[in-house]
Amino acid sequence: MTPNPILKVLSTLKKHHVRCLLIGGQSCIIYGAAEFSRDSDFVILSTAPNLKRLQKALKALKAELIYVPPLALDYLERGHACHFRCTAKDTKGLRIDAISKLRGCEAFDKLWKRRNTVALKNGSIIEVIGLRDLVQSKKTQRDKDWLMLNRLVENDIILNRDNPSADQMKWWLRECRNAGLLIELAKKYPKRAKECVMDRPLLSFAINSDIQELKAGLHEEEMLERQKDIYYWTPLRKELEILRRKTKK
Amino acid sequence: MKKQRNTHAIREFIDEDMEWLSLTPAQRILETNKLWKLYIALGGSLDPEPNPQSPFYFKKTPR
Repeated sequence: MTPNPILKVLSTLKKHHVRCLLIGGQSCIIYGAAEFSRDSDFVILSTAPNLKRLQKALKALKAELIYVPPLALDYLERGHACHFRCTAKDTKGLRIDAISKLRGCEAFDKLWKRRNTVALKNGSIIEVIGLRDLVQSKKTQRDKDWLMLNRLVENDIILNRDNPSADQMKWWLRECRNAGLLIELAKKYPKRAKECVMDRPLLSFAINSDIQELKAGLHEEEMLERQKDIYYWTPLRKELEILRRKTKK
Repeated sequence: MKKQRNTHAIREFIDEDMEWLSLTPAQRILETNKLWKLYIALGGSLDPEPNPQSPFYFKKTPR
């Protein structure tokens, strides 16, 4: 097996002209929020030609469907994810998950326009979901996603703290989940903080340096998003249950 | 050159993670390649860890 089977998967998808973006743990590495991940997750354009290209790429990787639903446009368009395991030599055992809709995020064409392209020394190109869309996609029911979301936002603050644009300041104020840091941001950028209060009312606690209320507000905000994610997945999970039972028969 | 004055919350963060953050995305990919090599050599599993919070988690599934 090659040292990094993810790169092999990426190059195979590229070779077959699959329109997709790297998301999940690998994209968190690219943005500095993680150092290692076994995940290989992609958001893909759900069109018939692109699906055909994906099928060819999966065939080249000898990737087998390991779970329901089958790879089909209607499932992808309803928000399902399709799961595969590679059996080809260089990628043996690697999981590939493909999805075409991310809850709370815009459609693929918008994600594609906002993507980041990473060029490696060997000439490989990695198309990765934009940071802001990645952060949005991490607002799930899973603890690990919220930890990652925090790191992604804090990294952006650290890397760009010397000369942020007004747009960046506002994004930090809207997305930062570290109460102490949020109070510091509100002190540093009071005008921007006031502008963002309408969008994020808990910023009034940051402006007043009320850390207890701010922490409570952040917790409430997170719980609300987690609940939205659970509601979103409930009908899809029911559908998966039915498919699983059918598959077992 | 004017020295950047860091706030307390930021300073703590820098001490822990600045080295990794100072890499470019491409350099991070190269570094993670090294971890892959080690991970595979140690016989690490490529299956995702079961996560009961995942919407894809069902008991007794391949996950």
